[in-house]
Amino acid sequence: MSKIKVTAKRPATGNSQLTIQNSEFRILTRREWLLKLGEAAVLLGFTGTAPAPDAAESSLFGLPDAEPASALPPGLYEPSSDHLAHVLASDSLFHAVPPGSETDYLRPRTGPYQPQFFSPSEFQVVRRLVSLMLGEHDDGSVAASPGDDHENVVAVVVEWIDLRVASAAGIRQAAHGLSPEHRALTIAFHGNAAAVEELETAQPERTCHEGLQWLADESTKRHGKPFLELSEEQHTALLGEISDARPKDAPENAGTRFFRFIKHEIIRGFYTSRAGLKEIDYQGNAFHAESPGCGHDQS
Amino acid sequence: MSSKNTKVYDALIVGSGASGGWVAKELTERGMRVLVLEAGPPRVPTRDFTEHVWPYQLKFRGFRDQQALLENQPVQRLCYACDEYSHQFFVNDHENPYTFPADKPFMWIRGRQVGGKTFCWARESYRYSDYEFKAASRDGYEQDWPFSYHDLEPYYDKVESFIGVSASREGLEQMPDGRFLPPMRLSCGSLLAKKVIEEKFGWRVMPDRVANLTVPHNGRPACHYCDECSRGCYTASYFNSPAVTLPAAARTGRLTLVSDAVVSHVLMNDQGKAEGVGYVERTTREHREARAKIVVLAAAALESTRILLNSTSRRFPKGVGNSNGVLGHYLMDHFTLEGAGGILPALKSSVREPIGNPAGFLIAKYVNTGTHLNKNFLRGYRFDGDASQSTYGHAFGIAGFGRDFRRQVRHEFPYYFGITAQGECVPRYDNYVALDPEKKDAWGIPALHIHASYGENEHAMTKAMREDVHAILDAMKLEDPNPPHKEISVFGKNIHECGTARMGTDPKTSVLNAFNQVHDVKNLFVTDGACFVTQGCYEPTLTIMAVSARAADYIAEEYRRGSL
Repeated sequence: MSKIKVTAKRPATGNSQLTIQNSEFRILTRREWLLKLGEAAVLLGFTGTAPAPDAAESSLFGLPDAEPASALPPGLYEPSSDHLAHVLASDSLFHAVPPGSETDYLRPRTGPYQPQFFSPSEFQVVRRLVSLMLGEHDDGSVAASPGDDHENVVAVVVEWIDLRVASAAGIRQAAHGLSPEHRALTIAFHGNAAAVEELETAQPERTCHEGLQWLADESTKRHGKPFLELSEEQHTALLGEISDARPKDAPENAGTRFFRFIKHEIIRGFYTSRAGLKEIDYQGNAFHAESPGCGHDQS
Repeated sequence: MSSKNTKVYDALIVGSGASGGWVAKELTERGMRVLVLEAGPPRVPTRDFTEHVWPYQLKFRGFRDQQALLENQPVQRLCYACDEYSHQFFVNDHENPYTFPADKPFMWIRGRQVGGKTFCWARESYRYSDYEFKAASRDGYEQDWPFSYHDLEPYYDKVESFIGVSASREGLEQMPDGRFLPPMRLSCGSLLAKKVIEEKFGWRVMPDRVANLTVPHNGRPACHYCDECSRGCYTASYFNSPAVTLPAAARTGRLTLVSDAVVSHVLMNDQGKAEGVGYVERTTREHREARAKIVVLAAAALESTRILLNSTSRRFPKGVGNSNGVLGHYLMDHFTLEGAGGILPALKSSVREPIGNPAGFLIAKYVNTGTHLNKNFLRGYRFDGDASQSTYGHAFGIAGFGRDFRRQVRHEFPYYFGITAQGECVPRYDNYVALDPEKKDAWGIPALHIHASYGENEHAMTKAMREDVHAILDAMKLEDPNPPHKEISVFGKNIHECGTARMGTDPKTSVLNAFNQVHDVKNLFVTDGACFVTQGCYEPTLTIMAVSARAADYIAEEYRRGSL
C-alpha cells in the first residue's frame, strides 16, 4: 500500500481546505480521504510546528463530536476528535491545565524568567556558555539555519539547566527520606545501588559553582578580563581545554567536570526543545494513517 | 458514622478495570442491575491525558519530577510507565502501603482509578492454550485449571471481537490465533531480526499482538501510531475499560458506577451468604455499605484476595474462601531477563524512518513445546523486543561541542536492537500474600504482606534464557552488544501478578470453582487474575477478560434460574 504524506494548509480565506497527497502524487480530496479511512482521525504529519486549525476545521477529522459529558458517567469517555484539534492548535509553549489538577505541568509565565539557582551574573555566564556550546552563527543565533530562530532556544536550555540544578537539593533530601524498605527495593530493582546513590549524593550545585569559579579565575589569569568579556577566539580556546574532545591524558579539573555536566544538560534541554526536535528530524508524536514500517518488503 | 444504602442491586462488582468492565458489560446486557464500585477517582481526558504533549511543554522536559516521585511514589516510580506524562495513573505509595520480608523484595505496581491499570497496560494480548490450562497433566507439577482451552475459546472469540486485537496468524498450537485485526508492521531492524532468527533458529518472529486497532472497530477509530498509549488516548484506539466495556454497560441504563469507594470487606450474613460489601469513601473517609444479591470481586489479583482475607467472621475466621488455608497462596509473576541489545551496523542512516508503532516484535515460546524438550526445567519462556533508530541518545557519546557537534548528531543515527526474555513462574504455596498484622492503608484497611521469591525452576530456566539471548545477539552481529543483566527482574516488576485465589475442582486445594465461584459462598465470585492456576509465559490480561466474560455468562444464567 502506498505511503501517504499529508500536509494541512492553514486556511487562507476561511475556506478550509485539507489536501492529501499520496506518494504517487494524486491529490485526494478530504471527502475521499475520510471515506477511505472510515472514521480514522489521523491526518496531519509532523512538520515541526503545529498549525492552528480554526473552529471549522476541528470537525475535519471525520469523527462525531464528543458526546456531552452527561451522557456517560464520570470516568468513562467516547472517542473524540476534540483533543486532536486542541493539541494541534496548542502552539503555545505551555500545556494549560486547570489549576489544582493532579497533573502538574508548566504554568504560563507572566514576566521574564527568574533564575532559581544561579545568581543573575552567573546566569549570564551560563547563558554565554550554552550559546557557545550550541554553536553560534555570525548573528549570534544558534538556530539550525541562520536567521531561523523562531524561539530563543538558548533561553529554553539555560532555564532547563537552572531548574535542574535548583531541584538537586530537594531530590537529595527526598532520596535520603526513602524508607529502608523502599531503598532496598530500589536497589533490588536496579540490581545495584548506583542509581539510588546518585540520587542521594549528586551535587550539581557544587560542580557549577566550582566550574564557574574556574572559568572566572582562568579568564582573569590569562586575559585580565571576566569570562563574558573574552573574545570569541579566547572563548573557544578555553572551552577546548575543558571539552570532552581534549586529549585523553589531559587532567581533570573543576572546568572539565563543569563542562561535562553542562554538555549533558545541553543535550537533554536542546533535543527536547522544539528547535532541537526539528533539527534531528524527530518523527514521533505524529499522526499516521497506517502502521509505520520498514520501507522494504514486509512479506 | 456508617450510612447504609438500602438499595439491593442484582450484582455488585468491585473494580472497574479489565475484569470488572467485562463483568459489568455482560451482566447489564443480560438485564441485571449492576453496581460497580471503584476505589479510585474518575480520570478526565482533558485534564489527565497527555498523549501529544511535547517534552518542552513539561516542567522537567519529560525527565521527571524526581523529588515528587521519590516523595509520593517511591515504588511506582520504578515502573517505566510512571513518568512525568503518566504518573497520575499510578497510586500514591504512602496511602497504599504494603510490606515484604527484607530478603524477598516485591515491587507492587498499581493504578487506582475508573479503568484501573487499563490506561497504562502494554496491551499485549495472547491466548493461553492447554500448555497452560493443562500444564500439570503434561508435566505433573501442581494442578490443572478446572477447564480447558476448548471451554474458554468462545470467550476469547467474544473478547477479541469486541475490543479489537491486531495480530498476524501464525498457526502455533502453543499460542493460538484468534479473531484478529490486521497486524502492525515491523520496523526495518525488526524485519532483519525476523529474517536472521527464523533462518538460524527456526523460532517464529511476528509483529506483537496488541489490543490496538489497526482499522476502525465498533465505533472507535484506528490507532494513529503516536506510540504514547500509556498517557491516555482520546481516540480510544486501544482497549481501556472506560472507553470500551464500561460505556457498553452504561448504555444499557442498568449500570451504576460509584468511584472513590475503597472496599474493605465482604458483608456476610448468618447463613454464610454474601450480602454486599463495606467500603470507605475515598476522600471523606466515611464508612458505607452497598448491598447486592451477588458480589463479584475484580479489584486486581492481590486486592481481591486482600478483601477476602479481610472479611473475617466467626464462620470465616481466616477470611472468606479460606477454610482450607489456600487463600493468598500460589502467587506468580513473570520474570524477565532484560538489557540485551546493541547497534545494527547495516541500518545506520542519516534518514529518519517513520516511527510510532505501539508494538515491537514477539518470538513465541518454543521451549517445552512439540519436540523441544528441555530436561532442566518445566514450562518455558518467550521473547519480545524492538528495533529503532536512536532519537538523540547517541549525542551523549559524541565528543566536542558547537555546530560541528550538532552536525555529527544529525549526520548519522545509530539503529538499536533490543530483546527481552520473559519466563513462566511456577505456582508455589510458599509464594503468598497475607494481611500485615500492623500496617494499614490510608483508609484503615490492613495492608498486605507479600512473601514471594523465585526458585529452582525459574533459575534453571534463566540459564537457558540467557543462552538463547546471547545466541540471538551473536546471530544479529551487533556492534557494541550489551549482554543481558546479571539478575532477573525483581518479583512484581512485570505487573502480571496472579494467583492467590486459584480455581480448582477440589475445594481442599482451591478457593474458586471452574466458574470463579467461591467454593464456600455460592453468590461470591472472583474474576480477576487472582483465579489463575498457572501463568504461562504470556501476559494475563486477555485471559483475565475471557475468564471474566465466561464467569459473567455463568452468573447471568444462574441468576436467571434463581440458583444464586
